[in-house]
Amino acid sequence: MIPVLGLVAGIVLGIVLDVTVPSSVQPYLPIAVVAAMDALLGALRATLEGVFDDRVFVVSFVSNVLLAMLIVFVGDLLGVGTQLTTAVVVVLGIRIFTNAASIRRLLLGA
Amino acid sequence: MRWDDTAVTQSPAPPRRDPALSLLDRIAVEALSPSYRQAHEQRRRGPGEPGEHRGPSGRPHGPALTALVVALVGVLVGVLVVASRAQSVQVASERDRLVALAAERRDRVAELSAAVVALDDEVARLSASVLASEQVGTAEAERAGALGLAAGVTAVSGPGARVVVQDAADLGSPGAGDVGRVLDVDLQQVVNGLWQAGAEAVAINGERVGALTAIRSAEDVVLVNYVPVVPPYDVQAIGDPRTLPTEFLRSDGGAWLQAVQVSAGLRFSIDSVTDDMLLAAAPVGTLRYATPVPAAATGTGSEEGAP
Repeated sequence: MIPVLGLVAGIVLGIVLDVTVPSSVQPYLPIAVVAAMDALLGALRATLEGVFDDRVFVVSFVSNVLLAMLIVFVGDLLGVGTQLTTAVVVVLGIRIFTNAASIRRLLLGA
Repeated sequence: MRWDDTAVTQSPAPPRRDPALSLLDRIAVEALSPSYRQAHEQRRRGPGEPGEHRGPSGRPHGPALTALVVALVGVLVGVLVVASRAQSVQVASERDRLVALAAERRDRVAELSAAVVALDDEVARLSASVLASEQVGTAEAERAGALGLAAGVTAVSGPGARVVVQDAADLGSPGAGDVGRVLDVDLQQVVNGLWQAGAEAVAINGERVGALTAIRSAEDVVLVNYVPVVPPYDVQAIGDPRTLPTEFLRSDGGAWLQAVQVSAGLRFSIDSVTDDMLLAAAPVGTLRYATPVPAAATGTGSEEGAP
């Protein structure tokens, strides 16, 4: 319950604060959000399976987000940013789909 | 190997043949970070209660940290929403700016075109008033009018004849080749033949042939006054409608047309027109060498442009 409240509070805060993201960071924001969604869904699935561990969650969240942004950043430097973005999105997309399917099975039993 | 023991807990020993498939398989199998299960196993073996799925209170971080990180995700999402909205607003304003700029430039073009028309009118009015003034005299005014007509710089109307020239019927059909196409030289011959037959003004597809008109081909397109014209070529000539058609057929241009009709299959027709045709003025190009004759020398003629 507390995490859900935290999520809502965070979204409201993010919109209300109206932070101007520096334009150099802006291209990496979507990929960071995708990585964060992946970590979030993984945590939800772990909770439902009864294996949640907050230390693992925090570490996986921070490392996933930073790593995803770093991969795309390095890709941009090398001139293959688009391709690496695709690679990151494919991997994270498969994980998100799989986790979402598991959550659906765990919640609805179907 | 971390993913191996998750594979054991999830799906017992999946057969791995295709390495590409096994890569995607591994991503799917490892969708839940294996660390969760490992940490869980450790905790179960350790002193904590096995059923507890919140972090044990003995750890330095607790549910508060989880909530904080989840809130961080929320902030990320919120910032992304705001940023993408700002971006779309920016794109929209940029587009509006370009649209406004285009409209502004269009207005400017219309304004300048109107100015050109007004200045043309003023030139015509001023030259008419100069010609009408006593200094020049009516004879000179008539001469200027006749010269303007002959040079093609004034719009004229009157009866005359119409020559229509078309490509050969089989042009473009396979094997026929390019022979049947009307070329610039054909139209040049037609125009010269019409002059020879006594035409006073000539226009091709509405483009008036003036003193500075060129009839030229660019690739397959004929340009008159540097304006592309397309077949059928409608050559209007003002002159005596009774004699113009027959005189034209007897001229060099008429002979040329009849020859290419036989050899290349071009089609043409000539009719006299008794109703008034209106031919627009030819564009006046930039005069680089011709200068007006000073008033004192007017009587001696104006042939100084000849080499």
